[in-house]
Amino acid sequence: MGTTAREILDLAGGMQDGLTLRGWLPGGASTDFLLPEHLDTPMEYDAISKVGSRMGTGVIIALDDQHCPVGMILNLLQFFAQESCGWCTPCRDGLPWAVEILSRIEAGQGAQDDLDALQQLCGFMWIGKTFCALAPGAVEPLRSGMKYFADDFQQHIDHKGCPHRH
Amino acid sequence: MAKIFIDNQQYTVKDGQNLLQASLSLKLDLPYFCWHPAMGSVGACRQCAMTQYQDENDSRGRMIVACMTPVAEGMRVSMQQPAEKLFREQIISALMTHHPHDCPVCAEGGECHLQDMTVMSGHNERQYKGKKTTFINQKLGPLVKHEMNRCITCYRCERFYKDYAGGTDLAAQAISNKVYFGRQCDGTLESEFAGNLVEVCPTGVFTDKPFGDHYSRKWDLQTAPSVCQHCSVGCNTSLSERYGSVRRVTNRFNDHLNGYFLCDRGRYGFSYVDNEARRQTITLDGKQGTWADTALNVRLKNKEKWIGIGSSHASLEDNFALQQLVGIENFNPGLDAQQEKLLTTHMAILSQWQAASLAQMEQADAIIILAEDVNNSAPRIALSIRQALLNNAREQAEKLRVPGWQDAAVRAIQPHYTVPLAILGYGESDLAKQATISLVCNPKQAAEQGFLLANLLNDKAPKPKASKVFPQTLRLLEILKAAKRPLIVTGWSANNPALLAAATNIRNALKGRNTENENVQDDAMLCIVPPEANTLGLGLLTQSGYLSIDSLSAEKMSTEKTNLLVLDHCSPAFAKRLIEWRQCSNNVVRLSQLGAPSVDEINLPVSSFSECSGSELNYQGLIQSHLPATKPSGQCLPGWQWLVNIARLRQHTLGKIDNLGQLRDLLNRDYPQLSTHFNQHHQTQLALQTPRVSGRTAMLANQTVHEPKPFGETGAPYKQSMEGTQAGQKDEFPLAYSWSPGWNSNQSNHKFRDEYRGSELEKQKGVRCVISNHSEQWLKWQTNWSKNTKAQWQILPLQKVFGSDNLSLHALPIAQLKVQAQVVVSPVDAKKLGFIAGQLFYCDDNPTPLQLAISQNVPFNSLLVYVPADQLFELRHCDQLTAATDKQTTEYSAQILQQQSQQQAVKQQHQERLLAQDQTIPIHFIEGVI
Repeated sequence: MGTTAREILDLAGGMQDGLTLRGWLPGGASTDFLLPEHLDTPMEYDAISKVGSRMGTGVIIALDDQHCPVGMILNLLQFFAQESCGWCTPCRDGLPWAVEILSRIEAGQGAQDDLDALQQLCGFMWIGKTFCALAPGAVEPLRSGMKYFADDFQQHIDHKGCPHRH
Repeated sequence: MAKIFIDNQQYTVKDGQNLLQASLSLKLDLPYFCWHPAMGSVGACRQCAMTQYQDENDSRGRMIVACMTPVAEGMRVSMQQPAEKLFREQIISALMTHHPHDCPVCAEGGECHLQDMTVMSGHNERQYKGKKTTFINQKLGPLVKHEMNRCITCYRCERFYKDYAGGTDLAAQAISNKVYFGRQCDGTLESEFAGNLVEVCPTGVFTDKPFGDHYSRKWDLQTAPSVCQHCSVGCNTSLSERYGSVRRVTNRFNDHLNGYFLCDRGRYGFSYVDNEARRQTITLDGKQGTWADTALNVRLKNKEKWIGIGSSHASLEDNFALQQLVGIENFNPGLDAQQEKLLTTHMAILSQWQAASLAQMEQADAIIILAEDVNNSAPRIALSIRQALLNNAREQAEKLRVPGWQDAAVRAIQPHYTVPLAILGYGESDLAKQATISLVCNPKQAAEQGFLLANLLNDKAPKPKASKVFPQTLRLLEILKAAKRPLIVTGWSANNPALLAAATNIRNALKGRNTENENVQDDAMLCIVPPEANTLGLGLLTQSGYLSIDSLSAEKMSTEKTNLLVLDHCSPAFAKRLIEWRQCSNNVVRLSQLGAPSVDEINLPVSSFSECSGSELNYQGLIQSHLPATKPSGQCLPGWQWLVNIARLRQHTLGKIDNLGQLRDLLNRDYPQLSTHFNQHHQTQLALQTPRVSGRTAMLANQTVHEPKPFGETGAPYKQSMEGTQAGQKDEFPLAYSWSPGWNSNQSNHKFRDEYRGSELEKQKGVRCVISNHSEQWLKWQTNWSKNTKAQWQILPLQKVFGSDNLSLHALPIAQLKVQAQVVVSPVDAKKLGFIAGQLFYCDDNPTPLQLAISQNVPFNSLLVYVPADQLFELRHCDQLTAATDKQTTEYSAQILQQQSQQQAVKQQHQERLLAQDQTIPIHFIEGVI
């Protein structure tokens, strides 16, 4: 505990040739994105919390510049929607709704109001509103992704498609 | 009481409840779905969101769900701030993503809780751009229709069906937004409470199928408060009618009895009133006639003695009028010899010990049932007993400061805090499956153990002839000594008064059990279940004497010529007795609802319970009145009215009665304890329909522009009315229908439920008609109770919800579910005799084919036999069980198939007849008979 993320990534072999880091999830799928500028944060609870994320499950997931952040977020939300137990309304009906929107955006069929809808869904499924922490966990990569990769989302909408190769 | 702040407004609310209950009791419009007053809180839907604040300075707060939050002194919450209002609107929006645009074709429309909550939330514009899921519906039987696309996954159906009612064939399946509520595969829902799904479901997933076949919107229905006629509990119901026919029965909330739920026999058994077999005309020797016919008049004025035969499903007023007309000494209650004994015993017991209400039974912490299958004889009682099984878990939860309404928590610990349920008796049943102490025995043995138990509890209790105490009884002894609210249940199903005596002695013995601690109240409870809706009404009327069935024997009657005046009966056993009596009678006059009239009698057609006012005494001796929803057709009149008319012909004083109110005044004179109840019913007339909605007066425009005179009875508190409830009129109790501004569904009950508190609850508790004689005597064992049979097997009777009540068998949905005759043998007997389950058998010479079942719950030397109420079977013993031949089996199967196809044909005809009736709308414009 306390080792910086940069050191951990180096120990893991660093980025592959030709790839640059765009963002990273410090604690697995249900944590907020952090940026390369946060790499020197010691990996421990308070420090990570201060920069706006969580230790989560202690698994770092790295996003490179050749992969679509929207696609990554769609993949994560599909996972959470599938795992939703179905007990409470915001998670059961909100997560598939987010997936519906993200799918269309990634396929080039997104509209401007879809971004507003996604923001609304982030608030809808936040802590205290659901029966357990699954949905808030799903919201973390979505809301942070929309914040840090806002341009990518906008590009998908303006150019009606995903600029990254799949 | 706790002082709380909602939106900075101070309120005082009751302690112990959750914030949702508190808000509703304050008449605040807080929306919800998954909470239910009977099923507690689970926090699934999140619709009841509010914001809770730490103190006056906290302006941000955090979102909570009110149903899961206990009220606390000084708590600060808000309901109308943007955060929670937005969230509640978003919940609706989320539920709407897959909800079909079905309102125009959905049966729930107009009384849909989802509609109400959607309007309440303010959501009105669809944002979701995706496609909607389509589920495949299941065929769930003739009572409940399934339309899964409308589901909002509130889980109420599963929680009711599985958790509350103990059903095993409906559950939530799959996960996420593919959750599916249904059976494992198509098939009739097995629970006798399945119909409640229709009321518990906030959308149109589960709807009333028979109602759907002849549908009407709620706002077009006129609804009258009524009482179920199909067992002795007397659940409060609402009858909804349109165009002169009763369309459906829904639950009418009664805090002491049925609460929020009915059994399916009560919910669907009413449609016998529309059956083709309803008598419509006066007949004389098989030919139609009118009241003015001289021949009829002469016969009715016959000077010889008239004997009146009452009925346990005719109203108190009908039976009383008959008794007045023929005289107490000539009034026979219409029961068989054994039932007369049971009635005398039962009335004696009731005058010593009050019978517990269902609400009280739900509080029991130890239950003993003596040889009575309440699941089938009085299903609503079984449902309440089932709830009591959670009481120890609830008590433990409260000790841990988890409120009892935290349903999931209580159920989670229930296996570790079981409530002892002892069943001494025979037969399979849902309750038997949950018994913690079980003794398979015949009724005599159950009664003996009951007597012995009472004696062990209190040595003053008389002993029975037998002396063997079974280990189960010893275990029960310890349990009952420690129990705070023990409940003893028995009934008439086994035809044995010894059981009633045993139960009473146990009750008596429990009285003195806490002599050391004077502060402990005597909270022991007794419940004895008689067979029919007004059996105890007969008990009240015959307390000062009656003509017993022994005196009606053919020999006694042939010495002097008599006339018989008979109230409604439909059992084959009665028909058999009547044949014998008929031979010794001058005239037989029958006042009947159903069936083909015989050629040698006078037949006067009576109104059914939905067509006139009447009262019954339920198993507690509580008087309850039902009110008419429609007018009768043809020449039908209420039974008492025919009797008054006959009295006029004979210039008998009964003929002076002009209306029901005067008849009830006579009743009050003889039974002053009834006057409180009847006086309640002589108030201003109220409407049977919600405030005026457009289109009502246009209803008959194709026939006439004139508004028809509202139909009502003199002295009745309700009348049909175009106006509906007056604006500003206080919600009067009992309300005929369930409605509140903004709440069109049955959830509106919770908006005025607080009116059920206080004085209204007291009124609802009702008037117990059996006066206490303040003596608490022991009942002695009678020698004839120890009789043993020498036959190979003693036959013990079984009941079935769909089959053991005659009236409901004339309702098509119930007839479709009628269970066929059965005989149940023990595995030992089956093996010894080489019997296979499903085979057909005959008992001795009796021609009724019985399908064999095998069960562990068959006492030694016994057979359990169930025969539907429309078949005669009088055997008490059997020496030989003969297997049916192949020919007989084929004939039987063919018969069953024929019955089924006949039912289909009848259903078709019935449908066509009702639809044709709608075209002419039989509204009666003329003044005349009621």
